[in-house]
Amino acid sequence: MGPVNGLELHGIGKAFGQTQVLHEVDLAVRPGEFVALLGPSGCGKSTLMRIVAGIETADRGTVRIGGADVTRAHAATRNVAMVFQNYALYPHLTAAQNIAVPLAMRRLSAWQRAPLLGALLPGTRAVRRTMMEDVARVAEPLGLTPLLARKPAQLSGGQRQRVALARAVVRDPSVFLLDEPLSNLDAALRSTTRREIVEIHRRTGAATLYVTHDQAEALTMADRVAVMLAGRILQCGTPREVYEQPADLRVARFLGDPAINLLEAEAGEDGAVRLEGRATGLMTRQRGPLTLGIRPEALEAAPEGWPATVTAREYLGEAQLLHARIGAQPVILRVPPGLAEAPQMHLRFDPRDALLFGADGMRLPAAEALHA
Amino acid sequence: MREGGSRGEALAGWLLTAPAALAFLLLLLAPTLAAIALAFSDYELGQWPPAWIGLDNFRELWMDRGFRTSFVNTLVYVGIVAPVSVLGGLGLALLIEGAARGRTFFRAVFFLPVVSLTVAMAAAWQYLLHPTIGPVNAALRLLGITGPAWLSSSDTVLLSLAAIGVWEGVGFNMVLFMAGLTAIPRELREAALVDGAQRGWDRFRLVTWPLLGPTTLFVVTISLVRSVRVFDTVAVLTRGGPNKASEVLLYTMYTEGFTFLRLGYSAAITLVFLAIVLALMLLQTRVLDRRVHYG
Repeated sequence: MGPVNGLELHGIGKAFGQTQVLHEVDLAVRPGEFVALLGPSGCGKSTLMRIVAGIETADRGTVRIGGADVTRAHAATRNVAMVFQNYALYPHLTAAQNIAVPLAMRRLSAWQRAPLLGALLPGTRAVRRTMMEDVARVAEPLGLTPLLARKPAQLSGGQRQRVALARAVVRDPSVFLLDEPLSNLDAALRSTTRREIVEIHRRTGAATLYVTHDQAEALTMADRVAVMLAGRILQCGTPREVYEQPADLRVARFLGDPAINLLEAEAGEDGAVRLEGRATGLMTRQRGPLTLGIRPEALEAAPEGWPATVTAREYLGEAQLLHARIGAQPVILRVPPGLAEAPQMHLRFDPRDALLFGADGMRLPAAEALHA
Repeated sequence: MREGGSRGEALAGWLLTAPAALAFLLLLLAPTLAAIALAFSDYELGQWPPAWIGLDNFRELWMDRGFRTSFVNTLVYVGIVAPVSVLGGLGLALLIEGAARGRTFFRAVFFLPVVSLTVAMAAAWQYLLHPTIGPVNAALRLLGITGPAWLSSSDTVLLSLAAIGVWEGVGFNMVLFMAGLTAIPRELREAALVDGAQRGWDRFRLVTWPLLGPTTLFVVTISLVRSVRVFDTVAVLTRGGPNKASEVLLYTMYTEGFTFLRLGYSAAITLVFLAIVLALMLLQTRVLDRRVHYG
């Protein structure tokens, strides 16, 4: 890919006491690119983000922003903006003052910022006026204009979130960090704010790193998704790549709701993959036991195929989930909501939708999907 | 509606509040009312019945030069002890909070004066400040300075007492500030960092000081009230002397009431004291409280 400006992380390692939180993390976010850092809580994604922001310092590795090494630089000098999970608005300042803080810190000297005295110094008023113009400029598209005089306590959760976003983008950051910004919003607000964040990202053109444990957010918003587990980035690719071609079992298991069906299968001497003694239509160079991964939506009821017993069903509205067993192995399939109830049925799947994983958990290359 | 039930509940409510209400009436309200009544009488111990003399006690207080000295001394003492112990407590709390190690140790060291007995500690101070054998003056002598007679010169006695007062109060304030500091969300300090508050002073102005508002208000009020109440160090170390230079409000009240047995006059001083404390409380709850809570 060559050197990209924007955000580049190389070999980042971090330990808290005896606990190694990050292992050799590499990640690059180009300017204008939206990368979601997806992982369960405790996987180290927030720590990585805090290292980028300069709140924590990495034990090993380098952080580069716009080509410059900022690994040990002070947070204030990095031109990184961050939206915190709990908004982190200053409770004693109005919305307008909150948004203006990053500008005041950069454009006014310490003396000019002093109470009373600052207002008397030459230039302060002119700078403050342009600051307020900038605040108005970012507040307008977020619908904050009528709320600028309010304190955070007088704002709803969604409004606070917008103020936090405005504060982050008011100074045209080169890196834009968001730490689970939607986790405190209700479901309806979440989807509108999702679009707004993508919109803001487009306007700023910053390298955006978005930390989340919610795969729906990651898959819908991001240009690329970096899947992180136990302090390592396991895979980084477009949403389709990480969902359809997971690098290994852990990524496959983490993405998808309900989770992917992982079935014990066997590759015979001829390389044909068999599930419960029945040919799947998949071929592989591998021999012996394998794991066959099939997404719930790739399984379907058919007149013939693997005999299955339905054990439970969940009605979702637009679809239903059937819990069934193929032999002794439990599977979940997503079928149309009107599918007739029958405890005994047959299941089939298109071999092109199936994933094969070797004994080491890595996905087998292209699954060698030859049709039998 | 179950009439009986709600009446039973009301009865239970009254019964449950009765002990606290009774304690309040007997231990707080009744003595206060008695003191107020006494303040308008010429009651002296052993003389009965007391006569109602209206505002005479207060008129006498107004003319009494001893009382005026005592009043001014108290103001000076409060004027030194309250601000120094508040700022000192804040400074110590910030230093200890920012320290990499030894937090528990320093917290304990500075809190020690709060839990130790002032009267016992006063003896130690008397030794420390002794003009000839005291270590303070010995140290000054090493620098070629002749130290004053800290507790027996009218120029320095109030200052010395104020220093002891600060020493007593600063640890208490520090602990309160430390509690206030831990209540500040970590995310806010981090937001300040990311927003460009590069120097510690910027972060203090942007986050710490405003968010410590409620704590500071409480600490200021407590410190004011505590220093207005100064009594034990004066009683043990100077007895108001020399020449009334360390006479303070409560000590004057004590001597009038328990040495000269003029309980009516002493009660009038108590009322002045109560009025000051009440005014401070009102200032806290009515005026300042609104400016430090952002919720």
